Amino acid sequence: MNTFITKRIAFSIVALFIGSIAMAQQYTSQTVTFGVSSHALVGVNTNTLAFSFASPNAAGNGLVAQSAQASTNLYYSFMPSSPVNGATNGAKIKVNFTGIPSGMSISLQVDDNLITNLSPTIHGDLGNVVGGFSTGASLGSGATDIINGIGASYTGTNYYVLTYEASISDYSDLSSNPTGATPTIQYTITQ
Amino acid sequence: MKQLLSLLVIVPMFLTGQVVVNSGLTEEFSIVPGNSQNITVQLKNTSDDPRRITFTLNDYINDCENGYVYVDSILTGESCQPWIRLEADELILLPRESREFQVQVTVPEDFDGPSAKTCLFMNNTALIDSIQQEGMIQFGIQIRYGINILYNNPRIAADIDLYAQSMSIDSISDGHAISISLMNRGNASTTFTSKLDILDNQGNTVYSSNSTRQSIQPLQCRTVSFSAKNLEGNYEMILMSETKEGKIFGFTETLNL
Repeated sequence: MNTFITKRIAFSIVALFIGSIAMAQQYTSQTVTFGVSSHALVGVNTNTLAFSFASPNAAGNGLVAQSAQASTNLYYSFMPSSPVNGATNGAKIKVNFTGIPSGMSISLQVDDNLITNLSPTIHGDLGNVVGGFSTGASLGSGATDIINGIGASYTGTNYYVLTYEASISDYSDLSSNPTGATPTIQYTITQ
Repeated sequence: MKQLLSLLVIVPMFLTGQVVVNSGLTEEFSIVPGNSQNITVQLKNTSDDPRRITFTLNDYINDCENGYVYVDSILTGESCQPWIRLEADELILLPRESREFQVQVTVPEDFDGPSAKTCLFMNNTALIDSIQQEGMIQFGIQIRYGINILYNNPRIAADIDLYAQSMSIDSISDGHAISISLMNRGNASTTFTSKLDILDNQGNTVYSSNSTRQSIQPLQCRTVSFSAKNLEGNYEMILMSETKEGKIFGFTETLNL
């Protein structure tokens, strides 16, 4: 009896084994999924950008400086969504100032020295600094392109250095406590 | 090692700790008028604090010089803004929270235009230091994500027309950078690649290069750029652009390098 049971168990195991091989042989191809998902991340290394205009220390003088500079580092990561269009280019970063105090104007220079030598095969299709911002240009109203042509890419620990210069455009409009909305710098990434 | 590398790459992005978009910046769809489409936007709060974000819709004009020019009004006839229902106008994401945001688009049954578009902005609240310093003008920093929502009407035949509207040649260290601006004068979005061939006066090809694939919307301009090195003299150039639909557009010009 025991021998009979042992034979039946052994037979069942062999049958299951053969069955599993037969099932495995039903597949002639495999679906392979690569987990690359689209994303867009923009970051700067400071919460606030501050321009210093120190008060005069002698009667008859104006503000110590007529202009002030402030810098921030800009990083990004971008992966286009291939089902949309398969395009590798096209994302851009815009900058927009709102609430610039009266009497002030702002210019921007975008330094890409840390970016330009990055390998495209490692860091991807990094963007280009738009026109005059390589050497410095005034920012008007509305959102302005500063970097465009961004494909699948990431800046890594490298970054663009954005140097803003606030200049006094009309002294008579200045105020130590300008009213209105909180001055804001808005960075927009879009494609 | 791979995880360490990823960490090194990602850490700088999160220095300001705002909410980021973990999905695409272009959502293109083509459904028969009268139907609806859901769009899902993936969000993640990268900071250790709760973050408030808002959502707004803005139409925009494609401008070859200035890129997207956002307008406050609805561009009647070419906007899909009125068709969009957002899950919410604002959200608060808990520290490190990820979540999906739903956008429903319903195309009116009587829409007979070829395409429509708008932009969905995901706006982080501006961050600003609470301590104000005398003599300092402080600007808060806000990161904003613009997600273009593009609709092509399948009832209207797509008409693509890539028109070379300007060209520039600049000297570079060992050659010339050639840039051609192409405008889509058609009524539908598409993608395209371009190939530039430069021929000498015997008809021999002395330079040939392909551009990367780019997307282009109606009335949008895209620039294709090439670096032609070690060429001097007179040549003929031929630029061939092919769309994903297989339409081919050519442009020729005499070069004096």
